[in-house]
Amino acid sequence: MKKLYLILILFACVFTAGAQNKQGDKPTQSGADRVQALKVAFITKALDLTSEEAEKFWPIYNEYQDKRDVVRKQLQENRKKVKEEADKLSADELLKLADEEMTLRQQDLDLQKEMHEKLKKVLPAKKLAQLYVAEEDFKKELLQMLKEDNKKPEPVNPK
Amino acid sequence: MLRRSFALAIVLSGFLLNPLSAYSTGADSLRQNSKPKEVRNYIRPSLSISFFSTGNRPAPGTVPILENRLGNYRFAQSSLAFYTPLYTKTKFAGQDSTDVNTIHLLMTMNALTDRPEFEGLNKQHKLYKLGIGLRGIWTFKSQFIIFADVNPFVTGDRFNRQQTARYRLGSTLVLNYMISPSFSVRAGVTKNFIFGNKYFMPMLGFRIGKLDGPVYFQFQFPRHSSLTIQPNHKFSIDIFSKSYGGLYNVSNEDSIYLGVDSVIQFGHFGIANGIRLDFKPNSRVNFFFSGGFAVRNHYWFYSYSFNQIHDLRPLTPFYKARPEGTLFLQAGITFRFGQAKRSQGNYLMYDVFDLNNSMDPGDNNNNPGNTDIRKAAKKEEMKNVQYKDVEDLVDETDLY
Repeated sequence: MKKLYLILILFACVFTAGAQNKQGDKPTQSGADRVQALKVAFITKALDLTSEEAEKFWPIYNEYQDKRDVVRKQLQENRKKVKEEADKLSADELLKLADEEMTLRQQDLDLQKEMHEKLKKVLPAKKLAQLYVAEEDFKKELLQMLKEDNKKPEPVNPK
Repeated sequence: MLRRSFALAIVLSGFLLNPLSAYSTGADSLRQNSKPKEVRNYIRPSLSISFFSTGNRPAPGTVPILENRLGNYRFAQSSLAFYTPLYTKTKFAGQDSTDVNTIHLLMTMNALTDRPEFEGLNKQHKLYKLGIGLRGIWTFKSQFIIFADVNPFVTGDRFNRQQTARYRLGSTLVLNYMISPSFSVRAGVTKNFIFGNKYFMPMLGFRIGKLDGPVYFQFQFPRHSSLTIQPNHKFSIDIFSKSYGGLYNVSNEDSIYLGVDSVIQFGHFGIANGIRLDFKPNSRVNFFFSGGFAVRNHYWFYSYSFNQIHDLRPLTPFYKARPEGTLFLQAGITFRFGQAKRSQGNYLMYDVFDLNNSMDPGDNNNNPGNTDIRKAAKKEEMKNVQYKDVEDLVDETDLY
């Protein structure tokens, strides 16, 4: 019976943690996983990858997406800081953030170029060109869906 | 011991699930002071708890007096297993730097209680096993994996902990070759005790069907074979056949062996054929229930002094019994913590997950299931997406 109580406590821990995640404004692991799975399905279909191409393509693509995530998160945090604390920050601090915006954008582009060079060796030219179109199409489809579901976030009033 | 293990599980899960822990995603105050870091691990820390029990049934044996004394036999097991990555390295390699080679070093921990219940004995033996081990996984050339596991553990009987404690070592070395996402083969060697004795055995296996597909079949000798059906990413059904068992020192306080030994050895083995249902409500947890019929059940008692007197090998049984086939039930829960690197579409990494899940910490063949491999999505699933889930993919200006 004691074991049963312990298991129930564990269940409670898990669901409490899950609920806390849902209430927050950050992506849930499940939600992000699902979007990634959808993106994989979308790109695989659009590019019609063979098994050999997929074996090489996805590890490279995923690796660079992970690296780009770090840059994007930093960009988001900086932008959030500007939105919320523009009045409190000094001119120097704001300038530093603006400079960092450019540096991070450049880092993101560098990573894309690095990935592009690697993908050139594993994908034929047609599929490589189609990849960037598929990425944009996927983004559009997601946005369309967000609009249809009326889940677009309220625009934040600039301070 | 088990109570302590569960207390440990709660403390551990409490820490790892706590929103203020380093693994959490919601600690704004902490994150503001630190730059975002790249997630390094593909394998997330995992904690699994499972319970297994067979029915009570007659167990005909080789010595009638002992058979009558021991009476009907039932077997129950509680198991707790944990692993966590210690080190992960990802490196571009190969002639044109397009192979993504990875190295994973994991720590494994296992606490288990086996309860062989003999109806004729007044006091039942509670056998334990505690282990802490290391596991290394190396992926290379986009198609190959080398898996190595070293698992030292201590076993004994709670009747007499001091005298029965015995250190043993289980180990496994496997080469996995992924011929295509739908077909992979494995070969290797393993030293294990799940057959109720100490065996060095070959490991041979194959898989047909994609690990993220709707159906796949695996045959992994000597551990299990299974047909897995995944109707969606939350549920999976396994029709399986797996071996279970162990080898323990037990106290001879109740004179099962009539010689001078204060400690004898007990080994047991069976094949569980059944069906398993897995439910994954979210990416952090999954539950499973399984049931079926346990067949080819055996248990053995060994005595070192008996074997010495008769000039036999140390693990030759003085008594063996073949309990009748019986129904069994098993239930379990697995928690996975923290975040992992992207692996979707990376079938070699799916094979890494499968290998890691097939060889459970402690080598008890209580695998946590492949629920860390998400079933491939279909375009029709593109609904109910929330902005917070896609914000990494889009710039806010895209919305206007």
